[in-house]
Amino acid sequence: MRYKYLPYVLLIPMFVMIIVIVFIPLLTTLTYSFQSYQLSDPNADRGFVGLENYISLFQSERFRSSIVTSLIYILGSVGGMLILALITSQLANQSFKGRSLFRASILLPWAVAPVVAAQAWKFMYDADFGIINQVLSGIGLIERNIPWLVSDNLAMLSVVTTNIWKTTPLLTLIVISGLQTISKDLYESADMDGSNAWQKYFHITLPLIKPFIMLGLIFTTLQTINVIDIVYVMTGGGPGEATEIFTLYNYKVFFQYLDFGLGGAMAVIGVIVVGILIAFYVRGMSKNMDA
Amino acid sequence: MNRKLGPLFWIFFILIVLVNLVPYVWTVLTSFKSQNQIFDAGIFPDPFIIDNYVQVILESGFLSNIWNSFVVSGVTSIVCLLIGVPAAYSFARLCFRFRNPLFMLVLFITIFPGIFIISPLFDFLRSIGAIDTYFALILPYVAYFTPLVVWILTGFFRTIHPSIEEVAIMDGCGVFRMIVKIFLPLSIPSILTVGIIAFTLAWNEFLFALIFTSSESARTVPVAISQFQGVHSLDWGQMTAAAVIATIPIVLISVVLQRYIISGLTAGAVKE
Repeated sequence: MRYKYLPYVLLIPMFVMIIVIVFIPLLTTLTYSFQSYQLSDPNADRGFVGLENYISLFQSERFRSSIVTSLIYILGSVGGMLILALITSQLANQSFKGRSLFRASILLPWAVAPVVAAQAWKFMYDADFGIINQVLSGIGLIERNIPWLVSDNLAMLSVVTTNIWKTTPLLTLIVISGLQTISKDLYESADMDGSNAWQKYFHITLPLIKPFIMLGLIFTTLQTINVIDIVYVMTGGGPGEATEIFTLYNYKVFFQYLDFGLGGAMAVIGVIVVGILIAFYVRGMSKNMDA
Repeated sequence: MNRKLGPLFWIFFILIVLVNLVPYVWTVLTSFKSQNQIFDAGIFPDPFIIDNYVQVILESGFLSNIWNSFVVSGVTSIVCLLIGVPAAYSFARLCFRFRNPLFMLVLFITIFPGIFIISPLFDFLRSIGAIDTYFALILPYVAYFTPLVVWILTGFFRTIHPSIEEVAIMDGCGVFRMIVKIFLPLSIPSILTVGIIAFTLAWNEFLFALIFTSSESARTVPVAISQFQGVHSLDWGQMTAAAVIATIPIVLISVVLQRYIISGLTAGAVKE
């Protein structure tokens, strides 16, 4: 159907919201990043300081470590999610007794608030009375309780596990929607050619759901850095700065150290990184469509 | 295709169901235990007590947090639908320039990290005296969740066959009347599903709620739960009771409407 103005009229309210709440603040953040702007001293002169905020960021050990921490957190989380989502979606796509129980169990972590997930897992990881140490010592795997949340590597492992638990369902659902687009005829003709299950998976299923996997990966990657809830509640970024991801550090610069100039510079760098990520994704998708 | 599913299938089945359920079930069990029993071993509450719930409801300000969350999420989901349904209709049914780039933009807004734009919003809300009000939360929620609503609804709308609408238009029915009389009644199930998804997202949101509220007058459930320990010094019984109260409605809705919500969450991804 063709109408001249109707399509745009219907879109106006949404785009007004997006411009006012996302784009204008984005530009304002950019101007903050070139200012000396301390929220603790709002009446002070917010002078232009050029690239000073950016320079002090790149000289900061803590900033660099937050980037490395984010990479570990993202790669660990998304890698684990991908393996689990591929298995789970494959199961959920079969017809069997108990399928609705299975699907409901997938939705549960999605429905629970990240903060609640974080508290639940924090309780399970508790060194003295958490169920994880109780089970491990009950079956004789460990002699002494493991201090999960207070030693560097284990704390990272713990927050990654929690994030995988909470966010895998999102990826699983996107992969399921991919599986549902595949026609059964393809598998039947593969059966006639005598292909086994693995061959069918790698030669038919995986190539066809690849666009969905890519979409799911970019969603879960951004979700992982966007949702500071889990790290905030479970470790607060600690011990030391072992689990302080980029966005959590940015939050602290803004609202604990009240430095909107430095925080603005961090945010601008974050936006650039996210932009590059999305650009790669869009390029990959348009190549995929040409092929 | 009714082939037998092997033992490997059922092993994975049991493992996945267990891993998904255990953290939440453990939270529910803990909420019925006494403080002493929480520190002891033992899986099931013995004795089974409801003191934690009584204390959370009567003594802490948790009920007002629930009310705040309810108002904020309710208004958010309604406004998201009011803005989102026309936009999704436009994307699903009408042809116009820049449709695909604009749709891509909508997709990326849904996953754009909020922390990167939060400081000017904070300044703005503070300058109009709106910090610690419902408005401070509803405004960013509507901006962030409407794109997701539109993205999912567009997928839903494309699955509705347009022929009835075309016949109505050819019979001289105006486009707005056609949308109200024919299109909307057909899509009520999907609109309700998406409304529930928007409600859930607003109910669970943490970052904006943490920064834009400062007292019980607007503080929502996730922020209250994140700060529970500070106030009650490691009272896991009350914390888990609060977590159960806060999640039971959402969990029940998702389990009961499981089929609709899954088709909603997967509708967006289909046929981009």
